[in-house]
Amino acid sequence: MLSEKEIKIKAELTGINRLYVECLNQEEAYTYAFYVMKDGKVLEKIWYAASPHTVYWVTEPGLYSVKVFVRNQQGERVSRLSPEITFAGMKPVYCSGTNGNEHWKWLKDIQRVLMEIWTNRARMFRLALYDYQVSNKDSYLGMLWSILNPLIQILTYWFVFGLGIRSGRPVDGHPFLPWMLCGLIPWFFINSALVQGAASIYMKSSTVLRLRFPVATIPMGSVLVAFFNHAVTLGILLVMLLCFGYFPNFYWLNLLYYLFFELVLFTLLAMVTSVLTMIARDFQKLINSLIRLLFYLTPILWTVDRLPAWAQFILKLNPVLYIVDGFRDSLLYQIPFYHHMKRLLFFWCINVGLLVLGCSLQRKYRNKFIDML
Amino acid sequence: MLGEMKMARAVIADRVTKIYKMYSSNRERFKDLFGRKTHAEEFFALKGVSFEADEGDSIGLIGLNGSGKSTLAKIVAGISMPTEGTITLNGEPSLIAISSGLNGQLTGNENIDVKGLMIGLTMEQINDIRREIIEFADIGEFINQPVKTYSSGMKSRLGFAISVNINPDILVVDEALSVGDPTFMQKCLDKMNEFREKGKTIFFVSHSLPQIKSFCSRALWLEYGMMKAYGPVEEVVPMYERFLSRFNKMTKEERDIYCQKIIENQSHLLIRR
Repeated sequence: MLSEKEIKIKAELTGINRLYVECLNQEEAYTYAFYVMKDGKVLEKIWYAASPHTVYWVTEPGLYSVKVFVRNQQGERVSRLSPEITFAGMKPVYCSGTNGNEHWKWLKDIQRVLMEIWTNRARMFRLALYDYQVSNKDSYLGMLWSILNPLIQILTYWFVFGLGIRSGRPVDGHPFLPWMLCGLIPWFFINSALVQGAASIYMKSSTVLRLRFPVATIPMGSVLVAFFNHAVTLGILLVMLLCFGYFPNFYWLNLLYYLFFELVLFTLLAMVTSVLTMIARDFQKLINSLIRLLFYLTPILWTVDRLPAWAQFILKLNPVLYIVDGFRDSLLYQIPFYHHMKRLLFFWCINVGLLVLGCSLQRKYRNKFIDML
Repeated sequence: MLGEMKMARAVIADRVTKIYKMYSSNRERFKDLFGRKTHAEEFFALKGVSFEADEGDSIGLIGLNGSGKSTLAKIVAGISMPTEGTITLNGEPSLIAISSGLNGQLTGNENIDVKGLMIGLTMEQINDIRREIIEFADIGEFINQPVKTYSSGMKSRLGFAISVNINPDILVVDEALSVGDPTFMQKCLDKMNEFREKGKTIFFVSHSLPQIKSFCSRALWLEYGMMKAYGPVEEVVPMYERFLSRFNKMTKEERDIYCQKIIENQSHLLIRR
């Protein structure tokens, strides 16, 4: 059997905190045990095994040494303490807790969000199309509902407001039904774009947040789904207009501008509201109840001519009325969109404001959504 | 070719720190929204974790409950971002977790569509892999039923089948195998072995040490958010096993003292800038 002096030990710190110990007196008949000691106290005992080396992961700073035991087949054993090894401790972790200030951050946020939407436009479009198909699939009548549902609502409002309250009188020389439809059809879109836009990220959180997905495209995707429905109801509107003897003319093309405006405005709104909903679900409930208010505050079913001038002015600041007026101007009154330059500038300024707010919210919270569930 | 022989780095984590803010109320949350100073308490889920993983590595994440394994898995899968530090992923990651990311309202088939569309496939590409997914999941007629009617085993089967067949470069498996039966578990392990042979990187979170020992080449041991050890399985797991047997023998009070001691030691290492 060996004597204590004969035992040779290799002990070293490698990597960050890997303490490697090896007994160099290696013979098949031997088994080895190790005591890892720190500042003279035994930290861990590693029992006799055939392996002549072991690894211990140190964490606390201090003086480490390892007592190596060698045992032969007869059960005789001998031990020796390795030289001491100093471990200075793990590397400190620096943290500031907050992100550094970036110059022109809001501008970069806009650029990043728009780039994200643009590079993933095909994916977003395919998903929206799929969502649209699925949303109509779980009912027997399927796609028919996207026509049937608005039709029933149209009939109700026409009966109550057109026949009941106005007793069938025309508006500015136009029959009530087409006049009302020009307001109601964009409202159907606005309603679902607002509700679904606010819920978009929350509704998809179970799937979307479990993989790497461009989250900034979700609000726009949900508005697109509403927009596909809008295209169908727009078909109803145009058919109805034809029935009432309105024929397509140059001014109908103005509708393209208002459709574009709708899409931009409600996408930007959804970018803001979807984040707010993630922060507090109350926000979604708030939107759901405010929508009723918005519907009756907007002259969709009634006319403004009996209101005082100042009230008419305040109502004009409502973007929903801008869209409804736009539809009526294009389809009934034959007024082009550039006729209302002041309103146009005002609402595009709002859009720019929403763009800045929406993009910065999206960027600020994009990495936190998964932690907010 | 020489280039192919060389192993490439698949994942580089550099001082990854994850801080969760714990708000005492929604009011605090809103204050934070408007950039005002809040008194939210900070919880460090990960504290400066640094490691590198090569292509073809299979890395077992071990540690007690609440040590940050799932947080690290989410970060490696690219779905959660570190609060500080950086993570570099060379390749497309895919996470398989128990909450498999399936939509309960949709049928199994529709979930395949949605997941495929979400990772950017076209409908044709999805239809190409659909048969393989259905074959692997092996849930029969249920593929056309809403996922909310599935058993937990069926959910995990479908989730695993989808995640594996979209062909990721980095596969992160977070306890997903624990709900499957042994036959399916073996099927998954076989598939994961196939992945490893193709040179893909696998991260494997499991409390089953035999599984880790038989499947993983390396192990990463997390202790209260800090990396205690990262090395070959033969070096890390034995020490972890010794630790576990000691820890299991402790009384509740001893465990609390142990935990306090470690967190106190760690707090010296967290330096506020």
